[in-house]
Amino acid sequence: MGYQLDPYIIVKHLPLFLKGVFLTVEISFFAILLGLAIGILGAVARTSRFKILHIIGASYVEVFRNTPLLIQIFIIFFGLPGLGIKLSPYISGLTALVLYVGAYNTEVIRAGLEAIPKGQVEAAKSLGLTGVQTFRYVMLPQTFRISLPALGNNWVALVKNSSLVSVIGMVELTWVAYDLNALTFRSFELFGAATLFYLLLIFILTNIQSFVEKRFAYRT
Amino acid sequence: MRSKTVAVLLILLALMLSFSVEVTAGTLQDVKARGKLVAGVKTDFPPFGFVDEKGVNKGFDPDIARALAKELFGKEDALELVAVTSANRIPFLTTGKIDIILASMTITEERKKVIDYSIPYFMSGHLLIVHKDSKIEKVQDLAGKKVSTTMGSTGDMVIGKLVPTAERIKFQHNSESLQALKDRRTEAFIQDDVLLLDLQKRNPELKIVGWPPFESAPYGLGVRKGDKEWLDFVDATLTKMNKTGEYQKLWDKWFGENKKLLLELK
Repeated sequence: MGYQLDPYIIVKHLPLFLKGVFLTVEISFFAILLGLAIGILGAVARTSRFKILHIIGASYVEVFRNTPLLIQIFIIFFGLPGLGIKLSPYISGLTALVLYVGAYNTEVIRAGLEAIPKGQVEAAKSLGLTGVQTFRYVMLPQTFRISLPALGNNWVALVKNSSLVSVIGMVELTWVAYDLNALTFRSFELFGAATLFYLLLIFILTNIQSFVEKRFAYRT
Repeated sequence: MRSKTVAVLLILLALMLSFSVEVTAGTLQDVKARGKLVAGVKTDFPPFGFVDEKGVNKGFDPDIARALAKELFGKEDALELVAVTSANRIPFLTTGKIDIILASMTITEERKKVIDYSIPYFMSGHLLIVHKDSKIEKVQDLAGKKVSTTMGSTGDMVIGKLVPTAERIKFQHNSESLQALKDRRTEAFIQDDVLLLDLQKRNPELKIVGWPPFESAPYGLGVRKGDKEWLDFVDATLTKMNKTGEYQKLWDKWFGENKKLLLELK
């Protein structure tokens, strides 16, 4: 008796798979947005005049870049209730993903900020722009262009990392594959299908990224 | 350049979809040639399979594994115990990573399609574990409520069958499902009676409800499908252990104190 492949098993459970894909897309989407905001805040903190912000920013990056995401998810979901903070699986997973990608984003955006010629800032000041205005109209757009490829990498990593929130019971794509596997034992078909779905999602994501890159490229 | 990559991937996919793996049905020969038995046991399911402070596998299942090793090779330690979970024990067996499943595995029709079972070696039913202040008394009280279950366990399937309106929060390990209950993320945790009795002893803020153990089914050892010679050997060893009284000794060692509460194996 051999192992006969049964692709029909995917068709039979397609609604559940799509439910998982939808949740993966949803949590990745919000994590990308919020992670971007954290990244900008972190980068500002790390390049600010105030030493205390430097320290906060650097510590945040060190902690969340140098520890495994899986452990972070466990601490937030299973550890925090011990301190009285009980977050739902969705919020726990989202928080962990946002803090994790935020740390990587901070470094990327910081590099982008530091890459802008000092002359730009001086010119802005001499035109009478305030610090905030300079940041918003002069620095941020340029930083965005410079950082976009590296940020895109972080987003791809995020979609893959979202698979880890399956361990706290979130019904996303990887969880669906695990659950159906426990029921039907069709590991190859199920995890193969999950792989294809992830490939598809990331393919779409990188295409969006290329489109945005071309759209915002310097016109020469 | 992109379409070339896509073409290669599609060809690989087509190749993969057209193959099927042949499993060698000669486990008894393989094990004897290897000189040791590789058995999959639980590490989160006392008293069937757990790990003590020194990291040694203990429990009813490891002891049966040791008896099998002794029967095969004359010594108990010609044995390698591999940690498995409810979710991965069958894939571990079917992909050849272990020779036999000794992991508190209930006999179900679904699983029978994929593996072969030994004669039953334990009788178990399901119970619920809840907080001491909980109003839940029987499984039907879980309608519309959150229940922790462990992936791949019969407890999970039982809730799906008996109380479809209950919201199942599934985790990979029993320890995580229990933690979710303790943190009051769920109102109950469903599992086999023998595990819950052990967990309740170590978590006195919880209590067991849902008596008597429901949806009972026997446990069996698992081997690969079609592996008749190996299965016959396993069954013969179990029968022998029953006749010599060794089975009863092991049973009393691990389950003796809960004798009155557990179900009888007929």
